[in-house]
Amino acid sequence: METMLEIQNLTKVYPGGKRAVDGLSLAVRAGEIYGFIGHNGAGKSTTIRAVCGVMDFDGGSIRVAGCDVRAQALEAKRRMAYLPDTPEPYPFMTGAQFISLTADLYGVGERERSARTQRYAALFGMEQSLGELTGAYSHGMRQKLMLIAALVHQPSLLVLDEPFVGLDPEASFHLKEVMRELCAQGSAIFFSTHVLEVAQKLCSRVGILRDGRLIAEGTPEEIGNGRSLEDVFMEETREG
Amino acid sequence: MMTRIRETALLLRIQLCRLGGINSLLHGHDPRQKRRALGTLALCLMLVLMASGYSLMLAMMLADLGAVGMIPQAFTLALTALAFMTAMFKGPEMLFGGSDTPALRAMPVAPGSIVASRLLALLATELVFSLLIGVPAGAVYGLHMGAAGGVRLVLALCLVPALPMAAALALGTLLARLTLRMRHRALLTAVLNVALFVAIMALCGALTAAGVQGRLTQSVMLAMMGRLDRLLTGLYPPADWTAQAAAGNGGALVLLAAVSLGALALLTLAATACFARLADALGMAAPAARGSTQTGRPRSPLRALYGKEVRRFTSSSIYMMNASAGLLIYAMATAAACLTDLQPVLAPLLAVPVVRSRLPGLLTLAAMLLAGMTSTTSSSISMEGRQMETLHAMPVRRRDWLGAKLLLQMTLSAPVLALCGGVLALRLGLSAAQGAMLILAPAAYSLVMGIVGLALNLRFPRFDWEREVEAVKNGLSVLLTILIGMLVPLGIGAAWLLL
Repeated sequence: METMLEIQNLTKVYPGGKRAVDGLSLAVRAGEIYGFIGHNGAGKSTTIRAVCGVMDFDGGSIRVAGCDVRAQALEAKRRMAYLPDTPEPYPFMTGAQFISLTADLYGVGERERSARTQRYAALFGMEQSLGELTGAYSHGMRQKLMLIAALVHQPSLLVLDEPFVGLDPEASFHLKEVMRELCAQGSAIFFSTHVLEVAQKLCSRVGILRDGRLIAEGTPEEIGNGRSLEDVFMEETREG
Repeated sequence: MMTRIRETALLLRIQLCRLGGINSLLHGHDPRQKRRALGTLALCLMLVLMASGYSLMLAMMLADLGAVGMIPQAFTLALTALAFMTAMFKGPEMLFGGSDTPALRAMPVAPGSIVASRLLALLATELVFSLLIGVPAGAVYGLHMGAAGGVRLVLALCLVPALPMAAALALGTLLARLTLRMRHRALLTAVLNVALFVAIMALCGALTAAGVQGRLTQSVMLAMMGRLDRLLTGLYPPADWTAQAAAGNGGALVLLAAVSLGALALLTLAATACFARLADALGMAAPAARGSTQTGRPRSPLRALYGKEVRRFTSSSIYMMNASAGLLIYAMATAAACLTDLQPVLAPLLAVPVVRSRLPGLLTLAAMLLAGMTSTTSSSISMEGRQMETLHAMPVRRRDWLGAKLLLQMTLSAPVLALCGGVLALRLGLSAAQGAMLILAPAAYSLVMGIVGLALNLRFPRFDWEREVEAVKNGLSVLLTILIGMLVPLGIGAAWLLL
């Protein structure tokens, strides 16, 4: 199976000397949902931002669908979509205008963008809101809009930072369905979460990050070895 | 009462800590951020020195002409215009908006304390300007009228900004209140602000024109200033109160203080009364018309990004006003040149041989100076704000992203520069080559300054702003771009005339 995300020896040191990510290596293959868990400040968002090309890093390499995120930044970005933990669409644009801008930047044709927008807007209950300025949206609505925009070009790799925060139960349910569907079509999903029950039920594989290092990785069953992911996480955190 | 004062003092401290990135400088760990904050402070210091130097030169010029008595009025008007324009630019967003407003409203803090702290923070910056401009003027005034007179003048000038500041904020708040439920609120506010700006400029132009009658000999200048003095005193009584206060009239000083502080107190009361309603309204997006829920036709990335830039520009009245000031002045000057008799204005200039032979070139440099004052690009990257990460994650070529920003600047400036240049060339009877130069050189300069603005904003971006005015007016890149944009034509002009 094709490797959609390959991180090797990733290191990120912030000004002031804080080592946020320390020699991290992992791979996510096509069809996988990879859950990235860890306590606050463990380096999850830093890793995700480095993967998406939003933040530079000090050592190692990241490849998305075979494209190096530094040397082939545009190619790598064309193959993925990113939903940040704080969704920030342009407040002076309507939802439809924002999706159009995203579709234009990813080179999505008129028919595809229209069909996908209609489908996902209906799924997330956003049909009536797309004509409004996003500045008037609630957090959850911005989250849903960014999700629709992320899905409009059917990415090979979908990167989500805390995607379930702010979503209503119905939207969370549909998001999980969409994630499974996308993976069934051959894409991969790499997401961070603090909701361990979701990670346990949804993920094909899970990685636990502590102080910028991967301390455990495998299927939820492999990692848990009979225990819940929550028990494992609490144990690992205490050891830290 | 003591609780309110303590709250106001605490909130004021927070406001002042944000000024010029002082808090980042003191507590930040990022050396780049510290360097930027230091750079901003250094540039501010340079501007301070320039403002003080300019003030000193103006006061000395008035003294040399034997018009020391006019120093109080002249500087009162300068500070009034400065305070009015600054407060107008900051607008009601400064009083009622900002991302910290919801958090403050959730705390056990009285709205009056929030309003008072914000007003005092603005007043503090205005006071700094008053001292910068007032101390050199006071020194020159004191040399001729006695040290006590100089001190009294500085004291009176420190009271001057409160009234225009209160008037501008009250006017801005009224406009915001009237336009709250209107579509295209930002565009409408910008149009109203432009109208106000045009009115102020027209008034200044009319006052100057009223004084200019023939060659600029000393006696004519004195007569002109005497006429201006009477006009200004009639139009704006605080100018006369400042003059009387400087001359030793204690009653005038008390009157000036009472009116200034009274205006601020009234504004505080009124703003506190409507704080909740306006903060709610400003915190929400404009009640714009519901747009289409359909996605549009595919466009090239450059066109899509250009469309975004146009929307960004037209969504912010501050951005529109700040980036259009130079072009507005040029358009107004052109209109005035067409509608008025130019002979009295040009006669004294044409009497100087070195100016007469180089008038078309100097005119071109003046147009370049105004084009240099117009820069959307110097704040366009900072204006991405918190959305920068969203855009950064998308497959956007740098040349498309920056090209769209440059295209916006040229879309605004090129038509105005071409039209005004062409009209002026015809009006002044310039040759085809001189006319072409009057159009092409400013347009080319606008393009170059657009690129300079982009380069500087790339080097010194500011994404952590709470209010748009911080990105549009206070960014280091904006200050540097405008400074370079104005200094280059001024330097060329000075060198050309002197060498």
